[in-house]
Amino acid sequence: MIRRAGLLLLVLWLGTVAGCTQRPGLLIGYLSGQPDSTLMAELVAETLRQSGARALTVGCPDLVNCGRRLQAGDIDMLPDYSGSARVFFSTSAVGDGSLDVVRQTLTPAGMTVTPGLGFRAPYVLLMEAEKALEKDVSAIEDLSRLENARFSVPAGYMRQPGDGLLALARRYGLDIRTDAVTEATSPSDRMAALLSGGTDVAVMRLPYVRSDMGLTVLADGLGFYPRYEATVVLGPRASPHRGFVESALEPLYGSLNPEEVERALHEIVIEGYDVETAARRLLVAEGILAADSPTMRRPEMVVAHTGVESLNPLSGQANLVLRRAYPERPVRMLSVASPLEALEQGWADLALVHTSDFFQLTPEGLFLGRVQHGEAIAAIGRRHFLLLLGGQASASDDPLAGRLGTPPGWTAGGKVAARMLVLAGYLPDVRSNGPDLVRALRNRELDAAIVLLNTDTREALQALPRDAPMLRAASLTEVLARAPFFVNESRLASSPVPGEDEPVDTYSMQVLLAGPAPQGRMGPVHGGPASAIATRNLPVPLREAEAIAAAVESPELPDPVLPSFRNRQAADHARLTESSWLETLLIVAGIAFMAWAGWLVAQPSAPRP
Amino acid sequence: MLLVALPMCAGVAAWGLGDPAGLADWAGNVTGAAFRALDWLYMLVVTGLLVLAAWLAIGRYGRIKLGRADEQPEFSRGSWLSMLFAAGMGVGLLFWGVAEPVLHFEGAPGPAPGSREAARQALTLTLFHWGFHAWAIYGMVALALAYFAFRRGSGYHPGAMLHEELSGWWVGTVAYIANVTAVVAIALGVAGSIAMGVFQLQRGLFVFAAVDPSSLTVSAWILAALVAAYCVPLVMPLDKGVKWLSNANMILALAVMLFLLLAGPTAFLMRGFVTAFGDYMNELAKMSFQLFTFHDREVAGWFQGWTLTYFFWWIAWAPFVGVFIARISRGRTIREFIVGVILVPTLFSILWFAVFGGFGLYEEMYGLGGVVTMVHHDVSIALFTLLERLPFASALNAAAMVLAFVFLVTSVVSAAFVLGLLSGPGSNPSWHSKLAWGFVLAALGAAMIVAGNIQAVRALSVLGALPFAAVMVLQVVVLLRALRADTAAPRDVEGGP
Repeated sequence: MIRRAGLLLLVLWLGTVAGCTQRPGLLIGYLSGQPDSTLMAELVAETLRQSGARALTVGCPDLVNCGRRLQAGDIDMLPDYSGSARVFFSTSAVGDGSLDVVRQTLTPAGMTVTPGLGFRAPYVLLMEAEKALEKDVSAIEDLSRLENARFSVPAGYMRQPGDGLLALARRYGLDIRTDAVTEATSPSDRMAALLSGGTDVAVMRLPYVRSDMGLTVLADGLGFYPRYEATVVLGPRASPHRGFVESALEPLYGSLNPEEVERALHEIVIEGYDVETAARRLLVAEGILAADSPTMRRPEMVVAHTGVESLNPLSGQANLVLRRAYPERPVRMLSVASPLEALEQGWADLALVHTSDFFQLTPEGLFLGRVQHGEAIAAIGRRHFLLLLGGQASASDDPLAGRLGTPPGWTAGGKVAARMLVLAGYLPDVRSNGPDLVRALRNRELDAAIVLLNTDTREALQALPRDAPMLRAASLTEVLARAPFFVNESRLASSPVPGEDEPVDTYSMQVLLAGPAPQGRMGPVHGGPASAIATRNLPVPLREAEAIAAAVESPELPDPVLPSFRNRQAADHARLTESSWLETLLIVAGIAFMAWAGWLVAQPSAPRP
Repeated sequence: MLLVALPMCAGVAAWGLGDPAGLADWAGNVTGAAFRALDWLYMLVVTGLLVLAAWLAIGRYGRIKLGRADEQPEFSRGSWLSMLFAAGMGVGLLFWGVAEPVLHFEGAPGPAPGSREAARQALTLTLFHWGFHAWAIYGMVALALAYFAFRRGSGYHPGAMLHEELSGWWVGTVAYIANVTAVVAIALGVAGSIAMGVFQLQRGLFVFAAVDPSSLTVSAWILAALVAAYCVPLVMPLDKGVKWLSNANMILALAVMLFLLLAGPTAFLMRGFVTAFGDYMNELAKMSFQLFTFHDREVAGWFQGWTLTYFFWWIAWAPFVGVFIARISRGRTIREFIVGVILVPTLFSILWFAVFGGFGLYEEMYGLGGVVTMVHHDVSIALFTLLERLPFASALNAAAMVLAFVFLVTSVVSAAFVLGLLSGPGSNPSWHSKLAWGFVLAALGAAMIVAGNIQAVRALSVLGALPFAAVMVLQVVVLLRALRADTAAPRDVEGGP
């Protein structure tokens, strides 16, 4: 009895506490297909969510529909511009669009507007600059000189009360034929129509207009358009939560500067980012949203690379590729001794490696086999080797017979150079980084050196005096009859040594993004409940690997000697379609067992004692 | 048997420590081959178990009591349900409550990922994995054990009933193998759960108190706390130790669920519950035979990775949960047993996933978002990060950690009890025996944590289920034979010896 009463009390208490903490649910309207409206709605929703509200954005086909839904209480609020709000909700003549006036106008209808968000987005009429110059049109009233002018306007704008196109025509006494007006929801469609000559005049919001587009903004000489300050119109449905909403939105008031909004719209319209991402980024940039708030706590993509080897600018390119493939995830470069081992251990999601990292090579150039930890996903670029000869070496000498330098033995370049020399029957005398080898060649301490053309080495070569570099580049492919199977012959368009402009034949290897290898792990370790903990050292899912590969601008595919996610796809397919003897045996055994079990059921039980 | 099972467990642990990748690869290859070759058979067997359970509950055998005719159940119905539920699924529900529906929402075959339809299907698929089929596996294994233990007095060993009902030169060998398989499967399966539970608690501490989520020292401390916690109930009689813990934890779980339901989008979650229930019932027959035969490779991979793996997990846990459920079910009729073991936990699972999974989906679709990304990043952190979005987040996270901890304790206590039962005489193992198995499980769990490779653990858990599935079929076979034989005599419906 006491226990039941205790349980009942617990339930009641929980119900009360939970009920008291129930967050308000708010519906925020926006104009579908209008990025500025969608962005504002998302900014408002995100800010409200930060205060604990449940905010949901609801799209409407046009302003008329949105306005009616707001008045009818289907939605709580509509982020909009003050001028539009006034002319729409008051149905009064176009006039002052200041927030105070708009607020006074809306109060009798049980509505209000919040303080401004900090930017304005007036409607503007745009013409292509050359056409405007040709037709001598610089203001809206000049449009009367334009015969049969074609207009491209937002959906619903033509008959929009107060500040719509027909209202504008009446005010300016323009003769606008409705059949010459095309409605296009997307601002980019209107802009495209204008730039392609498909229309003469386009109606846009100002933040979409960029100064470098060669467009003329027609002057509003009669002051037809009111002020369009970004604000939030609160409808009657929001009345019970008005205090909460106004206080929750406080960080937004006056905070959104026009440049940031323009940038966010550019991201959405031009770069194709989703509105949520752009809105969150904008809020973080404006200091309204903490970068580490739960919303922004995106798991980072950790990319392991060998810190001792300068991979610039390829590491930057890899970063860009990953940002394209994973726009939501920050990318962190992790410096480790062995990137592929870091994948195996689950310290990193991906690795930036050289082709040679897929093979076990000793600093002495011995080949011990393949590394099983990784599979290639995308080739980011190439690193070239270069054979440099000291000034004293003659063309007839064996260039490798003298004192020879290579990169340090622990680097990819050093291991591969050592392997090249082993195959040619030589050993390096000096191991050092590229700039040091260049210096040694110039000081005649070395006769030849095989260097990896990284940024440091290139800079060291470029710093040499053009008239007396004291060294020269030679063809590595001619000198080495055999090369490791994982390097490729390639040609440098011009020698990096100053004063030499002719091409140089050499060897190169790829720099790749690699993911953890499947290593024969099939079935239960792929996805599903089996992937509960160690999600990091599992192979990159095919869809993601394809996204990374697609994000690389270079058409070069990973070297065929490397294990690749594409091979995995083929291997998986083969495994699925070809039944091995073991599987056939299992099937036969399974059927036989079930038949036997059925026979056992059918048999009568032995009499019990 | 102990002399065979224990060295086997130790050998596996040593292999896992020495060459975790090699062990994982080997186990993965073997289980992969079985998945590809026998997925149709396992699906058929599991669905068959469900149909059989329904037939037994509805049919004339439903009135048969598991025990003497005048025998009363040892535990009250509430305690019975909470005990079997806590032992069977507790920590898993906590682990997957949020994560699984969210993962299906984004990656299951069928509707476009992230769509409204995908959200609806996500809950249905989750319920398919955690609903009737799962409990039918447990229920039928437990029923067979209970029937032979309480009506034939043959003990709880999986092999004992084979001895009892079958005859032939091969029976002794098969029974012995069945017993060893059961012990090894229990030990490895529960040790794996210990390792996974420790990882999850560590992630919880990371969210809660920013401790290092990958520090081995923290793992060691959590494991030590776990061992200290389950040693106490291990030395107490079952009805005091496990019952008290199970009841306390179920109340806390219900409280957290209720809070989530009321503080979250209540109407949405309740609608989700009704919709999910309806969709599940509607799709049950179709899903029970869905092998994605004519779909492409990725879909087949999804089916193996999720549905089939779940079935194997349930089968791997069946020898342990089955014995435990049988042990606490004396005095109930077959009908009551099946309703209690299959129907009630399934209904509770539906509510649980509708609340936790529904809340995750709601947050992804209409709330702060980012749940899918979070789950993809780390499944074990999903629950804690989602609870962070509710009022009293710290208290909720603390409650979730307590739940995970206690669910783990109850699982280990129950497993140690069952292992003690299987490795010794009588129906009440001594506290020495339970404690010894408790330490063995801790050692295995520690080995897996130190090895740091949970893949080997998972693959091995499934590997243990492969042979046990055959044992399970034989258990059902002998149950059917025994029911038919026993009901031929008038005394049998009245009660056993």
